[in-house]
Amino acid sequence: MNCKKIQKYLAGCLANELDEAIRNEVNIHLQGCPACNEDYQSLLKVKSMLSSLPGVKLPDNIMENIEQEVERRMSEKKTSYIRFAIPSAALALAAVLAVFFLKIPHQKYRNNYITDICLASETIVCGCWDKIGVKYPGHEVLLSKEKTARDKGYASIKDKHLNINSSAISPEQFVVFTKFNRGGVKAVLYSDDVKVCRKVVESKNKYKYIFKNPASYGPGQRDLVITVTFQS
Amino acid sequence: MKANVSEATVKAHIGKVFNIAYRFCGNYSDAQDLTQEVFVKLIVACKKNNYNIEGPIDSLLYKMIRNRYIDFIRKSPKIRVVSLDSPVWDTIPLSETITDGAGQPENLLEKKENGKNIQDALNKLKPQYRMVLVLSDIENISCGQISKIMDCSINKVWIDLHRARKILRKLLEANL
Repeated sequence: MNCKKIQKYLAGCLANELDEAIRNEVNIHLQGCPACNEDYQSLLKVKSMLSSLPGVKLPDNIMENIEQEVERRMSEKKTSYIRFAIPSAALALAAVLAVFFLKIPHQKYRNNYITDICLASETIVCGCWDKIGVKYPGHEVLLSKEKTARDKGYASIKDKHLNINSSAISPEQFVVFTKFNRGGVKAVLYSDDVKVCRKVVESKNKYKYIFKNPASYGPGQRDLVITVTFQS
Repeated sequence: MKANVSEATVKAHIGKVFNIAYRFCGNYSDAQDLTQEVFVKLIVACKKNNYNIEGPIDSLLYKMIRNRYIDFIRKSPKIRVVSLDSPVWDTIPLSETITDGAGQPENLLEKKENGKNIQDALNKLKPQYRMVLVLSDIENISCGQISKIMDCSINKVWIDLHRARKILRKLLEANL
């Protein structure tokens, strides 16, 4: 063992915590090397000086101070809940009211289509919209609300016929739309957008709306077909 | 202190914790604040979570005092206020030294001066070195336990100890 390596073990040797084999090696080196031995002795002196330092006198009032501080903090904890409860409840109520009154209209998504998603969605809604996108109340029909497999959602809408009273809404004004919420991606696809939907006139009163399934989604996915019959 | 941490437990450990705090801070009032903070935190946490302290809590207290000291270094202002009750040397409060300066035996005075020199030298060390040195050489805690308190390997403790002692030796030699 050389002098450099001994330096590494001096602290352990002073603490008397070295393995016996290493300790023996260190001892042999210290006996043969005056420089390291002198170093060891001076460090030992530092250690003994520190260990001979007297204890410090404890402040008289420390126990009372601790007791008072504990009492103060315990009472503070109790009041803090009440202090935050009322503002929190008010904030929660405000958030609920805001959601209730400030519904985000579907129009928001109209110019922001995301076509690269599966058409068999969790929620499929058919509704009546005019050219500028104002929804006619009472004409929205919820067809399916499947929350598990997408194929289920697809199957439940497949070949489904909608009967719409044409005295309330004409076939030209009628727009069918589908909502998606898959993996955090939200979108609404509208039948008047030729990029995502093909409208087939089967007869005078019967229309077929075919939402294209994106090819990138993979094989096996069929297009979403909604057939609407307008009855007078 | 009725529940969870008994008064006897606090009394049994408070002296040692205060001593460590004093050697860490080198200041009587700061050491008092640190010690109080450690025990208040411990008691409040136990009461809140309904823990009962059983068995030795030395390691827990050492770890807490180390963590509080690190917080203290981060928050500490540049200017220190020294209380009249803080000792200039070791165990004697300053107020006592002012009123009762006469009658101290010379050897005791020398010892106190030595203590002051050592504390001054300790205060000049890096906090990391000061902590290992205080825990190891003043409190005689094993290096294995120090490594747990300081969250580092035992080799690191040995290295820090070695460097700390060398620096302290140099500082003490310069003072003499």
